[in-house]
Amino acid sequence: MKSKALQRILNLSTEFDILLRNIMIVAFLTWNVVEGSVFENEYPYAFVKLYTIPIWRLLLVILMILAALWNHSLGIMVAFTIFFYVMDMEVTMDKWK
Amino acid sequence: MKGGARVHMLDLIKKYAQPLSIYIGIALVLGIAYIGRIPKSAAFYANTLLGRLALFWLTIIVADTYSWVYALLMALFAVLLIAVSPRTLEGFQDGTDLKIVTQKKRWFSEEVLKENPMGIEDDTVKTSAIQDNSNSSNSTNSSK
Repeated sequence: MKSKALQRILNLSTEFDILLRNIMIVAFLTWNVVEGSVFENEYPYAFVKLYTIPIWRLLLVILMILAALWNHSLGIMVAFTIFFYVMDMEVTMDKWK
Repeated sequence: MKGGARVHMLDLIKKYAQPLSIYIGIALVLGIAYIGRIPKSAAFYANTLLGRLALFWLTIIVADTYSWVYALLMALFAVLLIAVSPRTLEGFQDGTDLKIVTQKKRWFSEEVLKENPMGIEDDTVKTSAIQDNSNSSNSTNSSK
């Protein structure tokens, strides 16, 4: 009886994990398509202001490591997001230097 | 390598393998976070054929030697370094051009503003003409 209940909880947990993973992958994919890959699309103001703070950039890299450990596809999507974000910021900063 | 030396070398590699991977991980994380601080001259060499070959080869080596996450970090570092590197050397060069002021006679504006400059930065600006390397000509030819 107990093991059946535990199995149900574990199954639900696994299903929830898969669902959450897929939601995150789709969210980052959408962000990359809409925001990241088009240079002209502007980032939110907070993202622009935060870029100059090194801790923020370190946190982004740690987020990518955690995402890659959770799921490979999600790790790749987050890596793309960070790549587009850092590249856009660096290119923009270089132009206005 | 045979005998005791081989065992000692293997022991040494095993002993320092774990710290080395941690150092590489930290270096990669810091490299990504501070990609803008890498000197432009170094970034320019990273975008050459040899530089790109070395970066991609290193990514493969890291993927083979360490984990998938390390390979992802290395790949991200490589593409970021290539992306932020200057494509061409532009007309206005970003070099340091400093001239030490040796004359005691000051300009009128310097005397009025009580300025006593020791050096002049960007005394001369290096420029180069725009080069048209395309083969197309401006004239239009019509053949009937």
